[in-house]
Amino acid sequence: MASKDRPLSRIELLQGTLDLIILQTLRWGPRHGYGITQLIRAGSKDALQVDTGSLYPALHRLERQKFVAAEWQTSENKQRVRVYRLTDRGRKQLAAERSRWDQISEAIAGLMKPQPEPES
Amino acid sequence: MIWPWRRRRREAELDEEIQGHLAMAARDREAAGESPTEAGYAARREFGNATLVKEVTRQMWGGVWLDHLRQDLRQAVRSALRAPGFTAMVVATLALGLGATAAMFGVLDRLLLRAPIGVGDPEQVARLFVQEAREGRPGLQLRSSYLYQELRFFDGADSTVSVAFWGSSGTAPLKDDVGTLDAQVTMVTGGYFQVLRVPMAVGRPLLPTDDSASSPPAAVVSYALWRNRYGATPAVLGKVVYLKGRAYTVVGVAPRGFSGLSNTAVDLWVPVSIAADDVLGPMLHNPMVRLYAFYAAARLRPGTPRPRIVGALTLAVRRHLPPPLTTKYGPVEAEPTVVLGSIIPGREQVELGHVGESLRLSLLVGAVALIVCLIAIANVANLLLLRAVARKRETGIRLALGVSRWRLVRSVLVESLLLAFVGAAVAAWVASVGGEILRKLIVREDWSAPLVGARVFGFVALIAFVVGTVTGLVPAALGARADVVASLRSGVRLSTWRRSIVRSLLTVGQAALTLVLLAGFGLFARSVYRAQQVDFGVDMQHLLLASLGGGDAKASPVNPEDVLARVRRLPGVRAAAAARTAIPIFSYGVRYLRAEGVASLSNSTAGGGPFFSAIGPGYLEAAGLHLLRGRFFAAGEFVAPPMVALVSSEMARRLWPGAEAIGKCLFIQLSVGQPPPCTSIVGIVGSVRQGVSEPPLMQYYVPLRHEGEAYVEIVVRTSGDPERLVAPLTAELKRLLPDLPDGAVHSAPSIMASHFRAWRLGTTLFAIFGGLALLIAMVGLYSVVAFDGARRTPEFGIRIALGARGWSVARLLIGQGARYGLAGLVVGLALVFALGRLVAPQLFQTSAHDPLILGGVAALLLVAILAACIVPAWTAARADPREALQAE
Repeated sequence: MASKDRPLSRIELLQGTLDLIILQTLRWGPRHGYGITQLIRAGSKDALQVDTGSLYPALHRLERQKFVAAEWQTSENKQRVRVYRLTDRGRKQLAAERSRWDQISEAIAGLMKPQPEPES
Repeated sequence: MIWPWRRRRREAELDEEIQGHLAMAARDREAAGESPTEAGYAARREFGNATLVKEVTRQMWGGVWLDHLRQDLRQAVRSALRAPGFTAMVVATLALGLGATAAMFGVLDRLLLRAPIGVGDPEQVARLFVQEAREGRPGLQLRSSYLYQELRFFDGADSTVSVAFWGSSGTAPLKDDVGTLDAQVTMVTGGYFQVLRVPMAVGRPLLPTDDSASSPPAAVVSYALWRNRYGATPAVLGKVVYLKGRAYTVVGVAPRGFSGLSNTAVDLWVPVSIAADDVLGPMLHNPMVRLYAFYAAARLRPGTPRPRIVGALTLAVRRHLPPPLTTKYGPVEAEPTVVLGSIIPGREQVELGHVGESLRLSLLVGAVALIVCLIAIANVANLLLLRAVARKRETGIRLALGVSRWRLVRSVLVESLLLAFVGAAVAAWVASVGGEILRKLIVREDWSAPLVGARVFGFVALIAFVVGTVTGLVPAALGARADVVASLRSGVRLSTWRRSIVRSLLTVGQAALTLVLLAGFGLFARSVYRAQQVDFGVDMQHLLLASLGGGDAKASPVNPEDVLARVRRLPGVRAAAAARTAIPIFSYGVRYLRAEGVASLSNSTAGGGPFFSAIGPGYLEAAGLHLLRGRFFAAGEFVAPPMVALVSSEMARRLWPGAEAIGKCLFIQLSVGQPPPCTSIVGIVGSVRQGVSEPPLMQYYVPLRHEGEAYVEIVVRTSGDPERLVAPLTAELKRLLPDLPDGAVHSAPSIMASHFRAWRLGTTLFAIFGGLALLIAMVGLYSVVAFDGARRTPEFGIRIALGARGWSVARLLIGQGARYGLAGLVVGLALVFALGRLVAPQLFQTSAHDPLILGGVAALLLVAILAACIVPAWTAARADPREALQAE
């Protein structure tokens, strides 16, 4: 549930965008949930901060869709952690989502950078 | 989706995953220099509402609805167990209300809505009626019965229909190697079993070839007789049974529960061509005697249009029946017409527009059961409403914690549905027990098929679902509408209690419907009382009658006086006498009769009679018949002339109005040929009635002479309940007459019971259902008043603290109950007046608006209502001001 007092600086993530970011993050190797938040924050230079309230539901949703697989591992701190890795199906999904993302961002970029008026 | 059994582990894993996340976040913060405590807090703060995260994550697993349902169910079970009194009240109310209705539904279903058991392809079978003009009646009459002479009416009428006849079943002594038994015997035509397509349990059905005077006598026995008397062995085939002195060979056993097209049990079916002479004797060929009726049914070949069949059958009937006649009400144009009727009793009665006693009673009882069901539903709805109000604070807290309103509504619904279905489960049990009781009360026949089957359980489940939904929706809506802040701030105290019109309507409605049922009880009880006050002319409460010779038209082998001498010595016997056809509820006799100064008796015989009776010495004392004037027979008159007679006061009044009957002559045709001599009237006795609503009879009595020609009855007057003497008297008689069948002795009250049955049944049913309703309504009112009392405890505390007396506080609550009660009374009385017209035909000499009865039951209801208020009022009166105020 979204809370009303969220910091303004944080970028709201569209549904689906988070899934894409998670899949993209897992491309570099299996990670646990905390590791994914850290990686997203670092990768976006602190601009993107993933709400844990969205992360875990998203991870479990992706797992149910079989885009990621999870298994329990023991971390370097001797702690049991649930590690997610990208499945083949997830890889294909990522490729598809990426090309769609590229199209959208190109389109949006085009809109944001207006073409010069055609000369009459 | 994740199945429930894997869910627990999965939840533990999710917990661990999130704990791990928090631990790692805290460690990172510690590494950055924060203190361990601070790091822990900060990590948790950053994470947010862990419970909510878990909740949302769990939803991703799928099957959330199942999960929620499970939670709701668990919560419902918990809250049901937390308030066992409340739960028991709801379940018991529903079990009684639903159970009573379901039992009634079972009986009605079986009685009215289904084809008779054992009839194959029942939709192709139709009853055959004849619509015709009848002498002495206006317009056209629908006739269901046929005479013996009419059994050949439909032969060869149409190739697409086959017609079968069966007689009304009668009791006859059946002899076999075991002994003698009074069996219900039905005569049928040869095609009967084939037309009805009865699948035989053992052996073969009767066939057309059996139905001929020259065929070897064959019989089919019922499943019940086969099982109870012949040990359910196939060896029954070929067994010989004796009926009226003729030997029949058993050729088959009817299927279980088969009793033809009526609900009356039958033990034996015999071909009419063989049995009719034995059963009906010389009456058989006398067209004037219409004592024995046959009924007809036809199997129609599917696809044949009905008008064609009706046309063919009508043509056949018109060939035989006399042309249309002119009645004294004017000429009747229409010729006789055949009418097809359904074999499903309820449908037939509706189609033909004549509603029988059983249907009317069943509908009455059905309506009564429905009323109880409504009361129960109202009560449950009320109880759930009360709880919803009591839970306002809890609801507020749940809403504040973020429960969606839909979820809230659903959880309330799950609760009420759970209660409804537990109630329904108990109701199913109540229905099977109650259905058995109702069956015995209403039909008194042993149906082999269980009464409460899948259809009834389906019905209960359906009603439970409706009840659960309806009774749950109102409180649910109330809860969902709740204002979070207001309910948290004020709790129950400032809730919307006062504004609930629904609750008041439910309470008043219960009281009103209860009054209707109680009034029904009162009216029927008064009918029974009135019926018992009827003067039957004889001492009906203490009479026993034994027919010697067992109904066979054969000489009784012993002198009745020898039998009487032994009978009079039995303890409990006040008097005994021999007679023949003396009391017209047991048997009656008719002779061709002329009376002095009366041109034609037929003008005076409306209502039956005059009936012939022969009575032995001591008869007046034995029957309790009063000699009004004149004298009884002298001892010599029992053996030799002069010929003398007694007449009933009704006969004297109607044949010789205003004149003295004593001394007049009766001419009784006792034997063919000779002109009868004058039998002079020597005395006038009371008039006997055949039933409570029958007029007094014209009847005349002559001395009984033992000539060994016909069968004799023994009339016994007992000092106590005659039913208790049936067995000893039978045993005593059997010592002299070993061939006497078991059912030879009847008590008058047991025969008259059928006359009282409708009112007794009405009384019993209204007593049961009215009592049930009263109990439920009292519980309902009690809970409303008790709840109100509990809610107003602080107010009462303040009142008492300010000096109010306990009584004046109690009066507030009693007054509230009384207001509900009075409103219920007014509505209920209005209902009684509106419904009175419907119930009036069922009553006996009792007005449906009898002020005494209505006043009585109204008082009863008021007392019950006040009684329901006493405990809450007493509690309120003792409210401790300190405790009450501290509770806030």
